[in-house]
Amino acid sequence: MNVILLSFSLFVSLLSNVSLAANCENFKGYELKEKLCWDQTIRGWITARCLDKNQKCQAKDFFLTKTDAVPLSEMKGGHNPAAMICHHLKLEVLILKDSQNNEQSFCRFKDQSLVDANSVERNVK
Amino acid sequence: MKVLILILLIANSVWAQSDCAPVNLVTEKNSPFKHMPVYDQDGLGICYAYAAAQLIDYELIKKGNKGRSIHPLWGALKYADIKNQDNISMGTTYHTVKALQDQGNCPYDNFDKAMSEWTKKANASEAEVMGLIEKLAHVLPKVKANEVDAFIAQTIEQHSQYCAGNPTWDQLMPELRSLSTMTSRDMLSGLVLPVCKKTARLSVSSPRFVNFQQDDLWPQEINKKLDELKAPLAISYCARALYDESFDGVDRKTETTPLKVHPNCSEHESMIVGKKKIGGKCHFLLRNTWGNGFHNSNQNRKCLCKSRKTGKYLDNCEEKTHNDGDNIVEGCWIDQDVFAKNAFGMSFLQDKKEPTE
Repeated sequence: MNVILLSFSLFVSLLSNVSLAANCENFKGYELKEKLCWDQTIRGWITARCLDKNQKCQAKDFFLTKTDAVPLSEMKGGHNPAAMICHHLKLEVLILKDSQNNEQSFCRFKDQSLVDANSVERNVK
Repeated sequence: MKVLILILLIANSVWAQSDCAPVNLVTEKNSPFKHMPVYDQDGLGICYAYAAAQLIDYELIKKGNKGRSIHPLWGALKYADIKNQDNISMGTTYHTVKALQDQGNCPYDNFDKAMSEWTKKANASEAEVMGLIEKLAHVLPKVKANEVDAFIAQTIEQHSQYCAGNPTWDQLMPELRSLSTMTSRDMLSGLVLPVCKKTARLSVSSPRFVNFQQDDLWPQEINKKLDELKAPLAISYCARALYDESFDGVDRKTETTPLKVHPNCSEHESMIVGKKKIGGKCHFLLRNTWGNGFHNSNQNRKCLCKSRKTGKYLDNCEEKTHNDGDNIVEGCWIDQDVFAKNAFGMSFLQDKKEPTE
């Protein structure tokens, strides 16, 4: 029985690793190189370790509740509104590039975890 | 008179239904946009410089350049230079192209490397560094020599409330101190002097700027210009309309009143890189500078996606079904009415024999 359970948990673990590998990419900034994985629940990229349920991750916790709306005055001058929401929430904003050099704003939490600014904007009431 | 108006109305309606032959500058063979990433301007108000960089890069790559040449921030600094202003947060594409033509270009990689030295030292983003420089540029040249350090420290403290993370501004003190000997204008353009002393001449067509004082003219003229140039257009418009298509942010100039842009318009500039009909109405493909993801402003819109894995384009992709990590967004199709109600300027590159306006 133990062997079956062990095999099963090994299989599940392998499966989750395979799925992680399939949806992860290294993003680069000036100094930072971060492995981010796609999280379908928040429909955005998030620091790889945040997908591990046993790991603490502020970026993931952010989505447990909806965040209050950001004043309309924040949207001005053509700034990226998603990035401006990170600024408004006092989160650091990083522009990272994917493997094709496309740019994307990420919000960084105090524990250094990163999440897609578009997902953060979606979580605003 | 009534007959004439009727004819004009019918002509307009016929245009809306019959024209708008498809153009897609992103998916065309050997498109320069394959070498130009979708940018994200973050909290920098330099959309005009991103537009200028893309207009120029598109033409240069068409002429044979292997990759992009213009760093948008360099364009913004040169704009501030010729306008003799000590901030970069507002500008125009037309004048940025002019500035780059007059003052030359610092190659993209050189500029990027120089800028990264500053951001690494300060552990801050480009937007945060430039925000601090703009604040200093206003006053620093007027500060007495023995008060420079105290003034910089005070400005850093004020600026820090807008920055998250742990910036290490003290590491930048030697550079910031050296800026105090420059004029406020030179502080911006002098940022990257060591690597950009020798600039390269840019050989591109002349920039043109047009503005139409009738809503209905905008879709027609955008359509016409795309057909004529087969090149991108930079459009000035109210970004608020991307969130709310019913938004009407511009009061057109009349004989007695000037053009008025509403205070909550969120003035912005992006690239128009295609057109086609959706549901019988002309839509324009807008390549924005808000990153490569499905931005909230594009919920329920049809977009042009590109697969990260295969590089293949997928047209008419949508947030609800294609926001899956594989597809990046190259642009989204925007109803012509959005620009009819919210456009207030259009820039493009064109060597012309006769004046445009």
